[in-house]
Amino acid sequence: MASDQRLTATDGSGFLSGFWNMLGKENGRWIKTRRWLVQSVVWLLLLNGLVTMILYLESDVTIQGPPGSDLGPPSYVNVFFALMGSMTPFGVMVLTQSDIVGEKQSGTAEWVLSSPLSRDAFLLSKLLTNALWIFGLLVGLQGLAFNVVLARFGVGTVPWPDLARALGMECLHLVFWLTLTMMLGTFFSGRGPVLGIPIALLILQDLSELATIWVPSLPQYMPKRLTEMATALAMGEPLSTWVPIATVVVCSVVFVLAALWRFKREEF
Amino acid sequence: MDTPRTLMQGVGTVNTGHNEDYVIETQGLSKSFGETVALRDLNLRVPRNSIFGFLGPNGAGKTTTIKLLLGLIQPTAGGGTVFGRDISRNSVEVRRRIGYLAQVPSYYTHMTAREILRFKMRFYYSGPREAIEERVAETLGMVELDDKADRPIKGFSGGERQRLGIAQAQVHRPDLLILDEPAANLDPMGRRDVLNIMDGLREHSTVFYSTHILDDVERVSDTVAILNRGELLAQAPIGELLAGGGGTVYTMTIKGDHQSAYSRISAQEWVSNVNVVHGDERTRLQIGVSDEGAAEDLLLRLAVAEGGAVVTEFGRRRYELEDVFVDMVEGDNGGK
Repeated sequence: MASDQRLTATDGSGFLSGFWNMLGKENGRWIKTRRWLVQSVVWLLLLNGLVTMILYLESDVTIQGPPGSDLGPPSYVNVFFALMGSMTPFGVMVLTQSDIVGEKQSGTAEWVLSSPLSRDAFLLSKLLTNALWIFGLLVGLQGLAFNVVLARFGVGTVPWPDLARALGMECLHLVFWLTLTMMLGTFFSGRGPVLGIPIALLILQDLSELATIWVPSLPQYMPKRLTEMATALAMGEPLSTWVPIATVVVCSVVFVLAALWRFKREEF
Repeated sequence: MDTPRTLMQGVGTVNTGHNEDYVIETQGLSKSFGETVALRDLNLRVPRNSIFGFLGPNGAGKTTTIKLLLGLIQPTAGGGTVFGRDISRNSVEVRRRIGYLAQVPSYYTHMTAREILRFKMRFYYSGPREAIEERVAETLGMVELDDKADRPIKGFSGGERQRLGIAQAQVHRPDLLILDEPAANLDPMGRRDVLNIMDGLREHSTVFYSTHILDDVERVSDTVAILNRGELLAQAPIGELLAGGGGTVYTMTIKGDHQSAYSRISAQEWVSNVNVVHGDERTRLQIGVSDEGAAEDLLLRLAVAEGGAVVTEFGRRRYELEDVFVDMVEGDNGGK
């Protein structure tokens, strides 16, 4: 066969065997199904749509930033990051809750893992693709649009370096929920707990404010603290603490390692 | 009927070293799910370039065995090799040489048939896009799906999905094809197509397939293993299995007085038993013999020796795989 001479057998033994092919497939799931377009529109409406509405309603009122500053009124930055910090974790959960469980239930995981695809590569390709698209559409695009909206209403924009740092912090915030949801997908075979546990944690996080009477430092360890830090960064303030960042990074690494460990033991 | 249980000889004597003549070798392969034993002490040897039929009733452990070979589940005890590679420790390398069709195949529904084959192919080969596309097109042609290659697979019929299943298992030209019930749930035309494709693969690959459709096994297999309740009952070339292991049986249909014929035949030393099946006008004798030469020389003459009886049919009974299978499985179930 003529084609045979031009083909080279891929190396099928490494722990990332099949990773790039799987990454391409996962990427295709966002592009070919127009998922990217739907999510872009949905999140533009949810986040910037609300900000636009507020700006529109207040457009009669003359608002000015501090003299000599490009920054608009802090209230808009607060609103934007509060919306992003509270809504995008739900988006992450909804978008990724069936990634592992759905493939286990439908039998596609069994099918694709009958190829020389390592289980680590299966998981990591999903994690990486979802992370990139979610960061891009739920965070990056929204930040960009936010500054465009502010400029459109003439209230001054957030300086780009500050905005980039703030959005990076939000991405880190979402990494926590993304890795948690993915890990739960490897431990459970139904969508209920995969979606329910993170939602419960999200609610408990808000209730944790009540526990500060006994543990005053507790909020420092909560992922939502990253949203408060993102808001501060967008306003040009320096980082006040590394504790929430370290906590989220450690938790996310633990979630990924637990997911890899559990998925290796999965029986199809 | 005497079943060929003697064919079980050899089972349990698998060498631990890899034998180049065998593609799959398992030693004491066992799997339990909680308290349920799905597979017990399986010693299997699949010869290279054979079409190996893995027979058993539903729940016999066929799919469990296949999943163990693919590393999709892990054995509780024992182990095995595929092409000399350990199925647990070298699973990714093992799968590099295997093509697999699941019993209920599932694919990513946002893909077309061509995209599925392209995706599958890239796990095994890299190279110029044209070379990949050429191979994909060849494979689609082989299963006669070229005209549906760019349609979403959601609309595929059962037969088309099964042909796509064979195509995706075969696109990288594996050395071993593992097919789990490839012809189940298909209409006769679909079954015929799938069996023809399997037959065509004989030259290049070893085909290991599970089934409970005995006609299919007789049609395409050259070697057979029979599994029941997670235990291997027999494995042998199909010719040996059909030849039987419990003596030779002749059948004779007599019109008229069968009683005297029966008496003369059953009196012979080389006749081990005679079963009589009465019909409306004819009587059928099933005659077990220990000496085929004597039987072929004398049986007809003995039957018509005194007149009054006319032999309308006479011949050596051919064992059907169904006889062998049912007898073995029922014998095994009855003994437990």
